[in-house]
Amino acid sequence: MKTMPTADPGDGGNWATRKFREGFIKGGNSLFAVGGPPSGGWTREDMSRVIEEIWATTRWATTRKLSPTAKPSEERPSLPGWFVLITKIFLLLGFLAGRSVRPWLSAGSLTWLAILLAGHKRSAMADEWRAHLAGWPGAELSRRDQAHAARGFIWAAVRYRLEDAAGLAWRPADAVLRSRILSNLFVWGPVIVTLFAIVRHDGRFGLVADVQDPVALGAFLYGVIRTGRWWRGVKPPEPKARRARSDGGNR
Amino acid sequence: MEFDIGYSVLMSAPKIRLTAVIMDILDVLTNSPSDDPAWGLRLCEVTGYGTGTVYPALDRLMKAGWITDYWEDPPPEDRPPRRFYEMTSTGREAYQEAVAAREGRRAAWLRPELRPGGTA
Repeated sequence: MKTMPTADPGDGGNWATRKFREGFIKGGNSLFAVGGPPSGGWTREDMSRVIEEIWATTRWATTRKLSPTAKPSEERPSLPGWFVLITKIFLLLGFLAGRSVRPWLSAGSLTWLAILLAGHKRSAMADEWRAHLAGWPGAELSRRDQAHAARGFIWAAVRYRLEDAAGLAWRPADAVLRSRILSNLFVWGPVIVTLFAIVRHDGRFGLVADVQDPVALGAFLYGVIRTGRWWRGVKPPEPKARRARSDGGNR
Repeated sequence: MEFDIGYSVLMSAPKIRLTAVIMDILDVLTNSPSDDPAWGLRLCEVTGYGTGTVYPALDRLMKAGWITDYWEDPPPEDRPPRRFYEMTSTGREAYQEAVAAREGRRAAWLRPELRPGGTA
């Protein structure tokens, strides 16, 4: 198994600092397993050993720093009870879930999560994505590639959901854009309300003086409709008169 | 008076924007032989895009009716079946139009006299 580089003893730091660093590097080597996790994932014993290693080494360095004359017997103090208890509770919870720590991040688990996120409507993606992870004969995906693909599945599932939400949000807008009557209501409704408001507050003379306001509002709303139709690729039906004319022309 | 806000709105096909991802996927689908059709992993490998990009794009193309899918038949026993994709006639037409437009733009760029407002 490859190991991470150890701290350089001559790096200028003081002795205790180096010991702290060594302790964390030792623990880190075991915890993150640069050469890959043990086959079958992390066991409770593995995790206990790693935590104990980190704790004991740092504690040892602290003791030596505070008391440089400490005897060798004090170099490996036992772990405090509360620390052991909390650690065991966490490890026990992990095992109750039926998995050790590492497999939660495996490609299979991430794919399962992605399928869950994608929702019932896209349950067919489960087979498709599992076939993807299986690769093809002679070109199976490595574990690293599988994990990369599985992270992509999660992102794909999130995008599906976002697109579904956007589709739902566009439905009322599409209804307005597709219907000439609703589009006209969308444009003329606020314009007429504005006209009434002007007449009510300023009288008919006000209508002449402030005519630019309803005109600008109408132009803006008409622009919104035209832009929306272009953006959504929506075409309203031909007006009745034009349709009748074209039908007549065809006969 | 007519209200045309019925079912057609709810089932309307989304507009496809011809991004580089979509064009690359359509390139692969167009050039896939019928006896060896494209599927998810192959599309990712050939286009170089990740799964988080390719699958949502395939979903959009399916909704727009540009591509269609079918499952591997018979399903193999040792692994899940693959889902194959192929282009529909609508997709083929749209793709050919897009390619022609792209070629036109490229040609216009290489020959300035073809650009809008360019001098002969």
